[in-house]
This record gives sequence, C-alpha cells and structure tokens, in this order.
Amino acid sequence: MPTSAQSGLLAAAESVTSAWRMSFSSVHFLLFLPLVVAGFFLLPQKWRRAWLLLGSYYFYFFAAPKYLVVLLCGTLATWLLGLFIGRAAAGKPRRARMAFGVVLLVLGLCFFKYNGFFAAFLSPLFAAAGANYPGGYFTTAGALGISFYTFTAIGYLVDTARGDVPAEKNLLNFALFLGFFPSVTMGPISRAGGLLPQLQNPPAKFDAAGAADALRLAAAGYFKKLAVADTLAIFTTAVYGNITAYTGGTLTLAAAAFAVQLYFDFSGYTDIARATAQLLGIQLPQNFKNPYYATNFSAFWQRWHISLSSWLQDYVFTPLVWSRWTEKLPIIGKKVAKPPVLTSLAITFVLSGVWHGDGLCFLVWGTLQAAFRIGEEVLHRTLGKPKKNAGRAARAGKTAVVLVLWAESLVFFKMGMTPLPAGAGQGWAVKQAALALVRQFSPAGFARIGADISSAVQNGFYNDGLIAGAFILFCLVCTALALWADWAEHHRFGGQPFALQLGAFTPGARWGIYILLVVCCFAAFLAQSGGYGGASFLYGGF
Amino acid sequence: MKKLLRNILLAFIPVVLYYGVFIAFEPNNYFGLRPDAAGTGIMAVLRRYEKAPQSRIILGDSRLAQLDPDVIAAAGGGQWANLSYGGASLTEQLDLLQWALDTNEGLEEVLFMGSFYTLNAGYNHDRMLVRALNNPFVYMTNLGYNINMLTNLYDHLAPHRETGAGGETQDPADYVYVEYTDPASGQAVPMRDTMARHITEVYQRSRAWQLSEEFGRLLQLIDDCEARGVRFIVVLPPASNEVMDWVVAPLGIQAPMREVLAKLYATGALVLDYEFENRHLLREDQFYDGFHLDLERGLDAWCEMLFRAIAAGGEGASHVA
Repeated sequence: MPTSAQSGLLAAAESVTSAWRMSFSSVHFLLFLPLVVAGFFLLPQKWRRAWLLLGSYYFYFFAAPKYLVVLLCGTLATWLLGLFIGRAAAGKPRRARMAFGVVLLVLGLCFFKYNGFFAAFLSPLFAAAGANYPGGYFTTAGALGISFYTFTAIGYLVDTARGDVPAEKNLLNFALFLGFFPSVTMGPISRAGGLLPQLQNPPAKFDAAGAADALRLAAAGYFKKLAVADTLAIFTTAVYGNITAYTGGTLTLAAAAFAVQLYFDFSGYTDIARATAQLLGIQLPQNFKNPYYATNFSAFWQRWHISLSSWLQDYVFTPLVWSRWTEKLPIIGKKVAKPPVLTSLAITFVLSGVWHGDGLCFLVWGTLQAAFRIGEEVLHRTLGKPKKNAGRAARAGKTAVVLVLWAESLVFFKMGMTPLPAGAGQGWAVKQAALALVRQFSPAGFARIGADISSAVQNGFYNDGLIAGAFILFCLVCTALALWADWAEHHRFGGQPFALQLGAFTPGARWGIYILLVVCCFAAFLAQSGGYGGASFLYGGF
Repeated sequence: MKKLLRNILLAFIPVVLYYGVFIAFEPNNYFGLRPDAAGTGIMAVLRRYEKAPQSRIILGDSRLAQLDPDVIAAAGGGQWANLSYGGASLTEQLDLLQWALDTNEGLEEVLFMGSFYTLNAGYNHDRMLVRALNNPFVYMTNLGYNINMLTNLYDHLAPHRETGAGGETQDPADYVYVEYTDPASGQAVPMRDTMARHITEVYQRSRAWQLSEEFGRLLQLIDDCEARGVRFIVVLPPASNEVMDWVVAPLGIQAPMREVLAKLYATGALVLDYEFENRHLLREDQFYDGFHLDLERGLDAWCEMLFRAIAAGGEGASHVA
C-alpha cells in the first residue's frame, strides 16, 4: 500500500498526465510518434534501443501513470525468472522453475486485474479487523495492458523452459520486448521468438517504402476506429445503457452493430499498432483475418484475435490435451482412454472469458464460446465433417449461423464492459444481457426502430434532428465502406490488409481513397470533439 | 523520404482548406480577426468579458441566460456580466467560476445558479468551455463550434429573413392539454403540452438522482470567494408545481435537497431559494414549462424580484432555517 508521500507522488503524476493522456487516437500520440521515429533513425545504432525504451515508458506513463511501476516490476521479475529458468538443467528442474514463474505472474495478474472483484469481498473483512484492504488503491481501474503483457511474459517463460528461445541476458532488450509501446496496451501478444530478435538488431536504415505501407495501414486503422467503431458506439452505448427503453428490431440491430463495432475497433487498433511498429522497421503479427467470413467456430478462432487464440492453443489447450489430465482424476480416470479434447476446449474458452474481465458476464461469454465450439465438434463427430467444397449458399448459411451466435453472445460481452450502477451486483449485468436478448423478440415496426435510432443518436451525440440524421448517414456510409474493404480483403486479396494493396492501384484511385480516408477520419475526429471526451479503444481495459 | 512527407502534406490539403473556412466564418470572433464582436454564443460572450471584465457575474443555465439587463438595473442591481448559457452543467459553471476568479482580480460579486436538476450526479456533461477558451486546438476541434461555423457559413451563403420573435412565450397552441402519464404510478393527468414534454424530460434525467461530487467543489469555491472578499449569492430558480408533484416528490429528491440547502446556508453565502421555499411568489401561468418562465409574463417579474432581494440582502425571499 503506498505511503502518503507515494500517494501524493502518484496523484501528482495523474494530474500532470491527465491533460495529455496518451492513446493511439490522441493528438499527443500524433505528436509523439514522429519524434520517436525521427530520433530512432537519427541516433547512432547503439542508442536506438534505449531511445525506444524511453519512448515506450513515456507512452505508458501518459497512458496509465499509476501503473508504470507495475510494468517495471513485472519486467524485472520476468527477466530474472527467465535467467533463473535458463540456468536450470533441462527437464524437471527447468519445468519446476517455469511453473513457479508462471504462478507468480498469474498471481500478479489476478491481483491487479481482479482486484475490484476481490475487494468487494475482502474490504469488509479487513474493515471488521480495523484495517484497510491493502489493494484498495488499485481498485478504481485495472492496470492498462496487464493481461497482454503478462501473457507475453508467460509465453516467454514457457518458451525459455522448452528451449525454444534462450533466456534474454540483456535487461534493456527484455524491457523493450515487454514494454514495446505499439503493443504494450492492447497487443498483439508477441512471441519472444518473433519480436526479441528484431529488437536485439533494430534496422539500420529508414525504409521509405515500408513506411509508406505503414502509413496506409495506419490510415485504414484510424478509419476503422474513428469513422466506424466510434460512430457505432454512440448507438450501442445509448441502447445498452437503457435496455428497457428499446424493443425488438432495435435491440437486434444493436447486437449486430456492437459485433461490427468491436471488430473494427480492435482490428483498427491492431492496424495502427502494426503500422507504428513498421515505421520503426519492426513487424508485429497480424491479429485478424476477416473472421466474419468464417463458416465455423474453429475457423473463426483462427481469424479472430489470432495472437490470443494461438497463445491459448499453444500454452493452455495443447498442454492440457497432451497432459491427459483426465486420466489422473480419481475413480473416472481409469475409464478414460482418449485425450481430453472437449473438456480442454471448455477450460480454454472459459479461461479466455475470464481473461477478458472480472465480471460474471465475461464468464458467461466464455462459457458460450466453449458451448459453440464443443457443439460444433460434437456435430462434426456425429454427422461427419462437412464437405470442403460446399456451395456458396451453404457457406453463406453457415457463416450467417456463426455470425448470429457470435453477435448474440457479445451482448454479455458488452454488458460486462458497462459500468455497474451504484449498489448493483454482478448478477445485474447478466440479467440485463439476458433481458436484452429476450426483448429482441418483442415486436416493433420499422417506424419504431427508426425513431429509436434517431433518439439514441440525439441523446448520445447531438440533440438536433438534422445533425443526427447527417451523423447516421455518415455512420452508414463509413460502415458500408469498411465492410466492403473487409469483403475485398477476404475474396480478392487472400486475407492481406486492403490498405497494403493500395500501392498497386492507379494513382487516381489511390489518391481518391487517401483523400476519402483523411476526410472521413477528420469528420469523425470532429464528431468526437477532437478526442476530448471521445470513446476509448474497447480492448484497452483488458 | 521527401516524397513521403510531400504526399502526407498533400493528403491533408482538405483539412487545411476546411480550417481556412473555419477561421473566416466562426461566429464567435475567437481569434479576434474581425472588428465586430456581435456574436451571441457563450464563447463570444466570454471573449468580450475577457477584454472588458466586470466586477459582477451571473453563472447559470438557460433559466438565467435571458435575464434582461435593463430590468436588473431598474431593480437596483447595477451592471452584471451574464455568463449563463443553455444546458450549463454544474461542472461547467464551476469551471467558469474558477476561470473568472483566476483571471479577474476585480471580481466582487457572483450570482451562482443551483438547482436539483444541475446538482444531479448524472447531469455531468462537460463541453470543455474553459479549455476551449484557452486552447485554440480544443476550440477548432469541438463539434459544437464547428456546427456553429457551418450554420454561420450557411446563413452567409443563403441569407434568410427572421420569421418572427422566438423564445419561450406561450401561444394559444401551448394551451392544448395532453395527458401526462406518471411513469411510477401509471396515473394520467391533463397537462399543458409544453409542460408535459418538459416534465417527461426532467423526470428521465432525474430518475437516478444522486448528489454530484462537484457539490464539494462548489462549497470549496464559496469558501475561496469569501476568503477573497467576493460576495457569493446562490439562487435556486423557480420550478412549477408540476415539477414538484411529478418529479421531485415521486423520486424522493426533496429530502437530500434539504440537506444540500442546509449546507449552503451554513457557508454564510446569501441563498435565495425559489425552487422549494419561495415558489408561492410565482403563479403557475407565469411558467412557460416546468423550469422556464414565460418571457412576457414571468421572467421580468421574477428578475425584478430576485435583484430587489439581492439588493436587500435576501429580504423578500425568506427561508426557514
């Protein structure tokens, strides 16, 4: 627990940074990034990593000043644990050290991420004993990006124990790996084997062609975030903030809108993160590959938040299956002959739900994903695997089923992200989500839906019919453009980002798209009053 | 590298052009580039106040924004700079008060509006007025000021004649009675149309009423004013019987507001309460809707009443301690 002097220091840091809070969509970042890139390439090679680390910590300090110390401690602890594991003999001793390190990191994650959840139970007990709950200071908001960098750290420890990567001896390299500013707050979750070698040997020269691609990717990312996700957020926030005021079609539309919002918000963020790293000559992994064209949940999870799902596959699901843990269970263990695929799937998806947040809603959401994935597996086992070359209609039908189930499950996700009203328990959010799902079946005509949309936008955006109408039109046009680009990526460009294909367009078409992206982003930027009070990236809280 | 920078600049030409138009047509003369300063928006008012600060200021929402300076002067109130504007929240009012205290050493008197409606924690919007005043970037990216600029541009391109006096004045159409249904009990009562619409809106906004944390900041600023020798007056503007019967009473707001008023009286500031204690001084037909007084038959009468009470140190607006 911080002393009063430390609290004063932290409060001072908060007040210094509050006016200049940093995120990818802040003006501060747009000023910070060119300085970091210019400094990086102007400095001698030996100073570049130090410069990048300084920039990374500056970024994190202005994003979440209170939690920089958590990142620093986590970095030092993981670096020492990596060395500790690397020095042990291969086999059992190394695995034991790895287990110790993983448990330590998971405990840290639990404390900072689920502290609010624990505090609700523990604070009264401490108070009864005449003491303050020691974690009380950290209950107001989670440590930014802790889920992402803790998973990166766990992956590093496991890879070191497996002998896939050597323990990093240089603290500067390791600190940069964990705190690299493009990915520290919201991923992609990098693997040591992919990112560390790039940071150990940063590029010698500025690559103008690569930078042009990076700027195209960034422009597309900002378009997805500002012009699509943030404009849709006005509608979804208004609807899910007052579920009982809306009926039938409006709630169905809100569920669909939130699915689109979440996708473009997070994939837009990833585009900006990848573009930022690419400006520095560093490649981050692709996180999305048009997931909304998947025809089953197995394919969906290979395309959605790829860095997390592949992490869960490599470090949770596969080890669980091959450990044949069900055979070690008392009584029933002797009757089990096959690797526990379905139960391991369930554990993995429930864990994924818990990773996303401490509310019951996320647990329900994770359980639903497990049910969808297991249900699909059971269907395949009983009815046989579907044909690989199914017709267009069959593929469209299956895609629609996946999309509908996904969008409906996201209602729990959305309510998990909604702040609880004073005095409400976790059950309230689950009930609200269930209510939103049930009320979708209450009848409502098109006129009522139109009036609902208009009132939601007027309440959440601007109380004027003409302005609200223009805003709805803008939102529809931008969403249609983003969905079209997503369709083109999937059907024409083999899942590669649309923005990276622009170099092959004719100059006229290319410049038309540049101007359109700039104008749409600028209009959306103004619609959020320049980000002063605008929405934040949805995955930033995880 | 040069080509890349040139292309970035080219892509941003539309933004540069837009801001050229913005600076030419923003109606608040924010940058002081035009000799006239006739804008009526709050930003224009604040810019004028910045150039010629006055010793007395009024801070409030639309209920105080239309007080007539001539009526104030006739009631012995003297000259006041009215910095009130429609929809001002408590946070915004307090920010303006802090700004006035920081920038005007000659400030002597503050008339500050309080109301159960603005003291609600849920009514906490912040349009960054003071920040926009001090930071041109905030001003130029603010949605509201951009819409003002576009409206002004439209008026220049397609001038239109005024269609007549606007404002909050009852006309025969307002005497159409509709049925107002109480959301809590389901009871339906006949009510004037403008009143029913307003009560519905106020009820929705006040549904989860909780005292704003900003109230503590208000008490602190009252102390600061006292320490600086600035006379602080809190006024709770009138509310109609309908507001009391169909919003305040069913939502249980009266008891916490009694505590709020007790704390305000305890500061030693002059508190003039027309919302709860002195409502009888106004007739129902003087209201346009639940909060706003009719411009012709209500507002001037109350304005005179208010400033006579201020001049008399609170007499005429009694309170039971």
